[in-house]
Amino acid sequence: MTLLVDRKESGPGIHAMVIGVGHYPHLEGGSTPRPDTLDLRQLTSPPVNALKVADWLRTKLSHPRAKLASVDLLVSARGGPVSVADDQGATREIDPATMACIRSGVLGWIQRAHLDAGNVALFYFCGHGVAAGLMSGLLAEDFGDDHTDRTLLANVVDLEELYLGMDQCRAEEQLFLIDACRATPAAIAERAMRGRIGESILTPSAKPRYAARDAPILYACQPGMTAYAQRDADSAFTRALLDSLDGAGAVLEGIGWCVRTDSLLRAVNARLRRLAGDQNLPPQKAVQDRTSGYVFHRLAKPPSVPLSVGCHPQTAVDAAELVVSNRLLSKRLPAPPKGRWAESFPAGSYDIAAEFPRKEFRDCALRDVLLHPPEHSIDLEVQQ
Amino acid sequence: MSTLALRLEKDLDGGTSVALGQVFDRRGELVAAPRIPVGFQAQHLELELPEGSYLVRALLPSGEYVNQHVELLPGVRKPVDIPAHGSEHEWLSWHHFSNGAGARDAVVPKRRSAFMMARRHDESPILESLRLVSPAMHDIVMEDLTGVGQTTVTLRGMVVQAWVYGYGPHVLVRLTARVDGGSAQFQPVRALVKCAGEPESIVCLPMPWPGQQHASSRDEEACAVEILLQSRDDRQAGVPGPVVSVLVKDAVYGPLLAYLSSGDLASALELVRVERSRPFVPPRQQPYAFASIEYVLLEGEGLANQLRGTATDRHYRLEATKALRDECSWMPDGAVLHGSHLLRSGDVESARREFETAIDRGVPVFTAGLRLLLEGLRRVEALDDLKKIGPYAASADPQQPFTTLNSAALEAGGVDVTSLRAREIAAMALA
Repeated sequence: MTLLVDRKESGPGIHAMVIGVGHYPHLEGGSTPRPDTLDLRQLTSPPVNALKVADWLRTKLSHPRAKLASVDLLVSARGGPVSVADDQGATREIDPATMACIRSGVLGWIQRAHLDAGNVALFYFCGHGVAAGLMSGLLAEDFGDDHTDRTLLANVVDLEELYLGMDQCRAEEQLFLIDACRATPAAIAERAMRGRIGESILTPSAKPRYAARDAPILYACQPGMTAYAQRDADSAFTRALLDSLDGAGAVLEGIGWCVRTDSLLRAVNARLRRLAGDQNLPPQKAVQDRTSGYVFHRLAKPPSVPLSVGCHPQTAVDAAELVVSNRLLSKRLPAPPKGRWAESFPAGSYDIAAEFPRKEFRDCALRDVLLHPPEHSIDLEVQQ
Repeated sequence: MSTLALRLEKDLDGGTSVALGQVFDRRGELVAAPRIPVGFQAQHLELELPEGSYLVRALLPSGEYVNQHVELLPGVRKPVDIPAHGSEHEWLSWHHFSNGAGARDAVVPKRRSAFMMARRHDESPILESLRLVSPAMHDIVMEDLTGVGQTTVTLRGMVVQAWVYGYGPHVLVRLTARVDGGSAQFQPVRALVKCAGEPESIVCLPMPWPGQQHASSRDEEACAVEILLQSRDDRQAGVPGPVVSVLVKDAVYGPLLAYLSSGDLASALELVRVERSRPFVPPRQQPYAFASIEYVLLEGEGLANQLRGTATDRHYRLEATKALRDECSWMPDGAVLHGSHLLRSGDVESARREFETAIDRGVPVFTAGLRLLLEGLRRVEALDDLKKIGPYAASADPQQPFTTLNSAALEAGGVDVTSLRAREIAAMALA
């Protein structure tokens, strides 16, 4: 394990386990590929994602009650070990995400999170994922090291067992973020028929506690589907997730603008739709499992809300200027090149007007339009 | 004060439903979280609000949302019909509303030809056979519904009317069941669905679904249950066969189950909260609705705690699930739910026995039940039983509210589907 952050502060703390697996030596493109690589290849995105998530936690996370206490980072990248500056500014070589490292990392993570019921336990994984029906597994770096297949599931983390085992952790707020495909290679599905899909790191207790925790799981995609990323860049899901945490998933509560776990999913999916369009990626829909409803992150300022404005009839857009204003801000935008204006504004109420300097149409305005995350789209009805 | 009269515009085959909503004031503060009526026939919901500007957001069960800006002038009643069409296949509007099926990325049908009998189509899953299976006692009734526009079959006293439509990448089967002689005689009903060149799907059907006091269907006797078959996207490699989704066109339980399946427990719990304020209906009168509520309360226990959270209520849950277990012995879900509550009460041995009872009764009707059974067996380390349900858990579609199994995956797990197709598959007997 590599404790990038290890702060010994009193009171509730946030304990994060962040894993990014891009290097799989026994899969296609690896140094010692298995005879049957199950169509699974090397990945470039998970190390980028894991580092971004760890960085976001260190620099931006503001839980209303708990402070960041620990971040354990495991990264397997094709080019070898990754080095990152730790909390003290010292350069640390990050341990790889082998099954042994994940196991010891998870055990340390639960031990730290268990100390206080007010703690928050966060688990993030990016890498290859497999699924068979109701079961999901996460592939460690050394997946497939037994080329005979006798222990094919030895280096697969059984996600359900990990999830169920975590209900013995006293941390009442938990969050599981899984950025991985949920495909079903036949060889793995066949072995899942025994009711398990990998190794159990934690043994679920026979005595779960009533309402012991609020612990949603957010998956990057639906079962059987693929989670997408651009080469050497962050993935669509992780980008959408961080955008949502930065404000797209925000709601206004008594403590100000904050991101709740029950407002995350719709925001992530709104962002995923936008990213798919912008990056020409196939559609991808995140899904949430289990209950949730707590404030995870507090924003220091109102979130930025993407606004898309068009006109009816559409031809009016070419002759129009868009004016978005309130008592703090006023912005005039010329006719857009693509038929709609697209611009982001801080959440709040605005007057939104289409003005026609050459008077082809009558000016048209909506007053006091609330721009609320995740995004807003408006069509102005204009008349000649 | 002014009145905001809200409704969501969606043609639900002449029926109505509800969706959770949020009303934000101009500062962005949530001022109301109403249940917004859905459907052209629905009455507007009236909210008294101070004059001003508002953002109304409808949270659809499919996971989508719709925004509407509203300006309320002083002292007026303003009707607001939020458009929620969003689908190019409005004949699939219930499915689009519930799970996003038939969204705009699909083929555009011509209005007049949208309702057609199932037929060969280049993009369509070709329905080869659809058999209903009713395993009451030791009898097996199978009726092949293939190739018909409308037909009626009888399954041990239950009369099922079936309509089959197909267009573009979709085939829709609408089933409405009623029971001769009045009171419902429930029994596990499964559909075996086979498309040409594809493995069979085995679907648990919640039939008959008695019409509620808030009946959404024009048929007052029962709510329709619909099976939708969609061509699977090429990107879903590794999962053979079409996507098979089942929904019940109940005004409240339809969206409730969809919220549960999409992970929006907060919305599901809000609907449960309102349902629980209605007069108590014993499980034998509406076992599926009864079980739905118990699943939402158990799955959302972290949030439900905010709604109830007392030991008394836990005791009530234990008694309620026991009643479901006792009164509906044909339904495995009661034993699964009761066992899950016993586990949480610390009575591990009783819980283990409940899970064994559930296995004797077969595969749970609800996917949530299959998952709770898997969880329970893992917790009590009943390894032999775990192996029995393993193939079913590994071949179930987790996105569906009602247990939907893929026969190809079952066969890969060593389950002889051909031999099961007789009695065992009918009863889904696991033991």
